[in-house]
Amino acid sequence: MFKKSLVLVVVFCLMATLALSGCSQPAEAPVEDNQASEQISEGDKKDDAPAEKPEPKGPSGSVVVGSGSMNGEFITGWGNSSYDNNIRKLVMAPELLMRDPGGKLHLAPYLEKRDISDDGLVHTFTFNDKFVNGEYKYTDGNPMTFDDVIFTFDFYMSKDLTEAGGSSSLPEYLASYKKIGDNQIEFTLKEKIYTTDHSVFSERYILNSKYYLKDKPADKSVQQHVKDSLISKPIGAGPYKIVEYVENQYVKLIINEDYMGNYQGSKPMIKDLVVKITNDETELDELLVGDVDLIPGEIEDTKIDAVKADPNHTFSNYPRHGYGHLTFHNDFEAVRHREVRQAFAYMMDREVFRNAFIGPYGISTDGPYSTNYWMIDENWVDENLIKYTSDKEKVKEILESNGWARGADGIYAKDGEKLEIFLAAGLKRWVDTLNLVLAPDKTVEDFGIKVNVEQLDFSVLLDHYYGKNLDTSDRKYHMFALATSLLPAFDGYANWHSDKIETWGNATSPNSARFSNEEADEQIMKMRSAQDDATYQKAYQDWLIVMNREMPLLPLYSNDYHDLFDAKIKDLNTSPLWPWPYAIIEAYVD
Amino acid sequence: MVANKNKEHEKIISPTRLMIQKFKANSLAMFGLWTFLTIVTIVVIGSVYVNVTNYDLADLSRIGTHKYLPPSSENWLGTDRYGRDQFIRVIVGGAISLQVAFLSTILSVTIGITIGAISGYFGGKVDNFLMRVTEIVSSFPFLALAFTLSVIFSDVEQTTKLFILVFILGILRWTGLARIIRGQVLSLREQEFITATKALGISTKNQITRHLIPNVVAYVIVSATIGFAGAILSEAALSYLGLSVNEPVPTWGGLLQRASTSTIMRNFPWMWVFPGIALFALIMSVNLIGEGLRDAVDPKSEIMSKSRKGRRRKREERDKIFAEKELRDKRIGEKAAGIEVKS
Amino acid sequence: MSANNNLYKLTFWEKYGSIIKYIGKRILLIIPVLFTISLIIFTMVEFMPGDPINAFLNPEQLTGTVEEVAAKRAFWTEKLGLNDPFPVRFFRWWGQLLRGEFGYSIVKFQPVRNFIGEHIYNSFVLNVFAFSLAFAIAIIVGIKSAVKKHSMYDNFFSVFSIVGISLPSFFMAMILIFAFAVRLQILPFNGMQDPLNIRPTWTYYVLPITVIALGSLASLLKYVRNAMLEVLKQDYIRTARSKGLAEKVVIYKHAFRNALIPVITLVGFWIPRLFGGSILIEKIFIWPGIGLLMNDAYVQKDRSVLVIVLVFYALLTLLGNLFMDVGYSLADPRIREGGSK
Repeated sequence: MFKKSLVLVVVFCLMATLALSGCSQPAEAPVEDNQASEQISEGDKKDDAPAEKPEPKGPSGSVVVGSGSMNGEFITGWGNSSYDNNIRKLVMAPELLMRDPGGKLHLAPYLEKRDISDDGLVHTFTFNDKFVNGEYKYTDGNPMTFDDVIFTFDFYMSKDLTEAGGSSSLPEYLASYKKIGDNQIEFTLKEKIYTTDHSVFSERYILNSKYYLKDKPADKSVQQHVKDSLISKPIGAGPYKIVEYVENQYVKLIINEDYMGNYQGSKPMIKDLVVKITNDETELDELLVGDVDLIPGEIEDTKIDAVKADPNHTFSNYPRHGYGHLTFHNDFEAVRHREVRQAFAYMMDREVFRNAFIGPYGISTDGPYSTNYWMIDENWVDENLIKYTSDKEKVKEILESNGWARGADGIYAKDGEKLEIFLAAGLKRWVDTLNLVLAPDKTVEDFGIKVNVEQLDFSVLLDHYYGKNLDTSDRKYHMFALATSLLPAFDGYANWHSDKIETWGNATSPNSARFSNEEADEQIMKMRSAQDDATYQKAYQDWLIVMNREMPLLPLYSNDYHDLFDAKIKDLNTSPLWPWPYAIIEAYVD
Repeated sequence: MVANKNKEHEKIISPTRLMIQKFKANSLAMFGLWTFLTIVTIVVIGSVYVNVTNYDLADLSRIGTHKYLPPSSENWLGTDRYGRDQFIRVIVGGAISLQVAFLSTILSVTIGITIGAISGYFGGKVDNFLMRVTEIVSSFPFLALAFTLSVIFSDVEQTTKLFILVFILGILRWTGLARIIRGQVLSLREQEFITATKALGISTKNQITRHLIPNVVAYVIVSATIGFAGAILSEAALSYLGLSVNEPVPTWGGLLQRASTSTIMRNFPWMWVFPGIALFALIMSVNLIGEGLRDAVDPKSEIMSKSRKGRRRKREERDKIFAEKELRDKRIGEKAAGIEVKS
Repeated sequence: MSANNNLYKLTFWEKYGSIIKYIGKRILLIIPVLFTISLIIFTMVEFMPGDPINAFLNPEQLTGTVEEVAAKRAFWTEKLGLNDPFPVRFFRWWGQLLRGEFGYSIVKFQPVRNFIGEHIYNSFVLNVFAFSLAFAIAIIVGIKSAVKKHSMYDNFFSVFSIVGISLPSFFMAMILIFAFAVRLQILPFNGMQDPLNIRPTWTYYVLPITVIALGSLASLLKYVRNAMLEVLKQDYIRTARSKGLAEKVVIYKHAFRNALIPVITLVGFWIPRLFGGSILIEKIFIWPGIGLLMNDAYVQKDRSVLVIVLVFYALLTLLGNLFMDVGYSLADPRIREGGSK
């Protein structure tokens, strides 16, 4: 008898412990995002920062930033993890053109001016006297020199980089460069492209050549040496320097007292900075408890709401410069027809999807754009683009007017092609939500379109998506669920021009939607060759109208990113184009 | 009274009866059994109801209004992030977890018995080969198989995926049982009654099925119970690694995995407390049954008395009862162990 | 010892010869088994669907020029030797292994050898503490439970130990994190040390150790208890008792010593986890051990890491079995004799 009660007591005790932890405080559904992204462009800032701004004396305090898993590749050229990239932004020496919160580029503090030739191909940078005199120093004490600048571009232009397993898009744009006179370097470009400044001069951090060449073995290229030995220990001249990097744990940084300043000369005011790896399951409570002071880019409503409810924490939010989407393979079977893609867009209830996937913090766009781009705004979008909302009648109308008819099984068919769509998704959360939103029995009954959601391992999904390494007979998927981040400056050539479609199965197709449309191609080329903002803007808008009509890709959501942080951090004004590694320079700790 | 009862057992000595008797007297084990039966009953009734009413597990219609509601008279266990009823999900999840565990246990027990019996009965080269295979399988990393098969079969339908899961959980877990059975068969083979069956010209197959297997059935039951609990826990582990089934199919492991964030734990306790209790009660009860069975099977253990009075006296009596049997069992055990190591 | 003493004292070889022969034989048997397992693992990993290069070349990196992407692919295909036929790769891999090279990680851009040792060490440190704790508790509690068979004490711990194995470890870990890090705020959530050196390092060990120890306590306790019960029944214990020795002396000096031998063989059972860690626990506590390494390797399709870690697991299991068998044979010479005949 007593044993039975003993069991009950033990069980009870356990449950009591569990229950002790549960005092309810309902908020809403949690989600996690799959792809970290770079945010770019302006967004509305909703900051609870106080109006008064006491000027702090000297750098002080410490901030622990939560981060996803880093690979330890803190030098540009190999891996492409955005978490690693954050460290690069903090540590590396300033590039020639530095970004401001609005996404505009400015000359680095060590430059005096830039002259551009009339044809736009020759850019001559003039360095200031301080630079010529070697007064700018890396954190190891070496002065920044012209050799370093040349070394940097050599580093990324050389074939040795590819041989060392890295890559750079620099050779695509840059023809040659040389030092002229005492204080100038001249760059010659291959062609004038609207986005040149961003692709050639921005985020090309100047490398400390003495340091990278110091212990280089004679039989290795410098790129190989950097990759083998130095990739986790860069020495630059950024606002911070690395004190300690513990793999899978954290990067500890300390302020660089000699930092030359950002685009407007600001220097950091927070002394110690730790970038700590956290996990999704507990990151929010690490913040609330105070183990972590800043979680950037949060999208889950449960976490955001918890911070909003906490008086000791605040946030800064901005729309994501990018979107989660379903990409059609626009040259494959039934989805090569525009009406089918449109019908799909009219079938999918994106509001329910968004609600299930990310909750209230996000919007859905109607084409591959972000309203963060200066070229468009909400009004323009409302006036010019088709809004796709779930609508049975519309699906019916579009399909039937194009000759599709429902078969015996209730699924639309035409000329032997059936609207049975295979959709590939990689991450569990995608599959879960798509399974619910596109439950086959419902879509067939209501819309006459059958969607099979299949989960693929991410690498397999990419094989199909890029059309590489597969037999043509393996081709099966019409749609892919992925998330994409946009670049600060838009150049549609690589990802949307019909030149960039490779034969499926043989080679990676940069135009991954495999979308080919003469009108769109024309606008892309117009944008590329635009000499002024107005031409560029017009071409972009015209291109969007085509994309919105042709529907090669159905955006599902653009998050409303929230950077959540401890209220002790003041003046942390992040925005899509101004992520925390930039914004932290202007912030201070109370 | 009780003492008299015990006297009777002295005469009966049928191993099965003795086992049942011992099990019944073990109140912890009986408690486990009743808990287990209760859970199974609730889950079965619930899932029958869900099947009969054609309940839509993928119902998103209430997502706008019913997200994360606390328990109420309408939703007994609250609602989840999609606004679905958590009670139904726990019930259906239980049904699926139980089925997966049950099927995978059957799979592993079948393989274990077959390999063990064949190996033990035929001996020699067959034995040697099968024992090598067993050794390879037993040192094979479970997750290697789980990872690889999950990648290969990730694009199959949910129902098929459940069978893959059963396969993953069952295919590596038979080695312990196979070894025990082999040892038992080896030792039983040397005993008189098998020699007798041989002499009587009964076929090999009959010898295995009619005579050997019933003798090892006790070990099978114990091993199956432990395997059953293990399968449910492993499914949960696979869920945590994202290798189990997807929405809308619930499992207890999956429910727990989706609720295992500190934010949900703090704000929506019903999301994890209920599936947690259910899973805990199930595994606990299965473990208690397993322990009880193990004691019941173990000839050295004794019948637990329900009253604490006079326990020592009874124990001494029982010691005597079992003394002879124990000696015999020990001899068999040693022999089995000796041959086991030879492999 | 002189030859005359042979009658009374055994030479080293006579005493230990059979056990050495037995161990030798068992080690020889491990080799073909390990080879077969490695072949199976290698095949499974190699034939995992998905292009190993796509898996780690970030999609954005593939949007360079066609030549650039092709060159990059060619580089890695060559570097990883993916052009060679399967048997060539397999035997080359074994060749490397025998030379102490474990392949090249395409995610970390380093030879696997450079970092695997540290991960093994991290797992080992954690598990040594956890198992020592579990072992100590099991011995202390197990002895008392055996002595006071079916007492309140015994029953409490037998139920308690079952509680420890009745929840999935990740869930148990979450509950503990929730209680001690979120609610009570006395222990850290995860990690191995405090980057700001505020919290002492030992606090980072408490939760993972507790979870692991809880998970292993049940079987250990049961084992110690049963071993003790077995010994307590023996004649020499009765003799000791009848000689009037104090009960404590009887139990700890005579009984426990003899019960210890079978218990120690259980270490063999732990060997795989001692060095191999646990994926779930290391993932939830962000503990950079071998389990976390394997999880990352799987997610990032880092095949050379995956293969080596899996083979390592298999080897550990085999060594564990060997240890147990040797332990049994030491404890019971009859087994050994059966084995060497």
